Amino acid sequence: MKRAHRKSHLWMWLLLGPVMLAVITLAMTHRTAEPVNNVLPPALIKETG
Amino acid sequence: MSHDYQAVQWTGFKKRFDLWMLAGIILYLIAFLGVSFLVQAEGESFTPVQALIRATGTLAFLLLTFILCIGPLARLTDRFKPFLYNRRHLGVTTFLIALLHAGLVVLWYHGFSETNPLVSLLVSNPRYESLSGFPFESLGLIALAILFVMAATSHDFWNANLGPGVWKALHMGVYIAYALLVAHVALGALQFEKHPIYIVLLRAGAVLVFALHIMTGIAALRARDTANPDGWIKVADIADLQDARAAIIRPKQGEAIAVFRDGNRVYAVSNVCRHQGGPLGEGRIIDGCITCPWHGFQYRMEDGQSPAPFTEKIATYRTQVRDGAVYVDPKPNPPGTPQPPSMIDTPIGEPA
Repeated sequence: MKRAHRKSHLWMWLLLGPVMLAVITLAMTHRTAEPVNNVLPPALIKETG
Repeated sequence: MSHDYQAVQWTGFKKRFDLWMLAGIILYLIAFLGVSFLVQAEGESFTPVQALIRATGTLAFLLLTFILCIGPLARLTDRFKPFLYNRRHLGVTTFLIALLHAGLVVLWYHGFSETNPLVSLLVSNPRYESLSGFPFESLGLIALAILFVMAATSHDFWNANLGPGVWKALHMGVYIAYALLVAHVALGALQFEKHPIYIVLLRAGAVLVFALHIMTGIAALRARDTANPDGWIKVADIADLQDARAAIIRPKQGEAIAVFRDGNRVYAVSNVCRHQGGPLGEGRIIDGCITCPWHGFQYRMEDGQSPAPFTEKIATYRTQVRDGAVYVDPKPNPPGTPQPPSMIDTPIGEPA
């Protein structure tokens, strides 16, 4: 692999790595106690109760 | 590439590898479904389709994590090189499993929507400002689109038409796809999955991929070999040069150099394969040619040219054997220039 590509790899991971770990941490700290169904359309949720 | 080059190299090894991969995938899916129903928590109920959605989702994530670890691991130990040769097949398989996962989600959760199921998937949850209620499906969809581009352009046809530089840059998109998948899982499945195994797997996967790439990336960039006052770089003592293998030298200027020992002859060529920039110095000598560990492209040691009918050429370098050690001149010859080898008087295995 060319040196320029190695550098791009490294920079990309230096950027993506902390972002990934921050997203995981944030997602875990903001987890709701009760599961929320975001998938079904609201009307359907109301209808099925 | 080899003398009997074919567009797709279905060697016996690749066929066996693919069979093992397929068997592993089927076993994983069966085991996941079996365990899911056996350890189903009280009050929790899900259908076989929902279990299959989880099984394909976790499998695609684990496979992509493994694929991204192969490159750095192959630099640390030779044991992972067989996976390096078959990484492309693993990548395409991962895309197909992710596609199955997405297809099942769209059909199962949005198939009965009044609108188009794909439109329903994208517009049914507009809570982009919320972390716990984020529409994580959109992240998965973007990652899937990137994986599709990777899989569709994985064939050598695209590498030849786009050029190695553009192709490589395009395929670095897989890193972005992985980060999107991490967010997709963290903001999606992990918001309602109670079992800690999912959190452990996601964290461990992300940390492993991140750490391995940073570790090997820094190591490769920091390694710089200093030239002697006469301009030559010491490669290694003769006794330390393995037969039919190379030592890789990274001069302060220019690309890395692979210095091969073939019996009592020493050759030096560029470490960068013309195909996709693979590390030639990590390859072997097969049929008298340096063979790239990534896709088997071959070059003659004496002039850096691919054997006929192929036309690829790499730079050669001058070498010297003196005082029981091998030296290389870091100034490259033009690609394809014949360069006589340096001769080692000491037989292999004896101290110089």
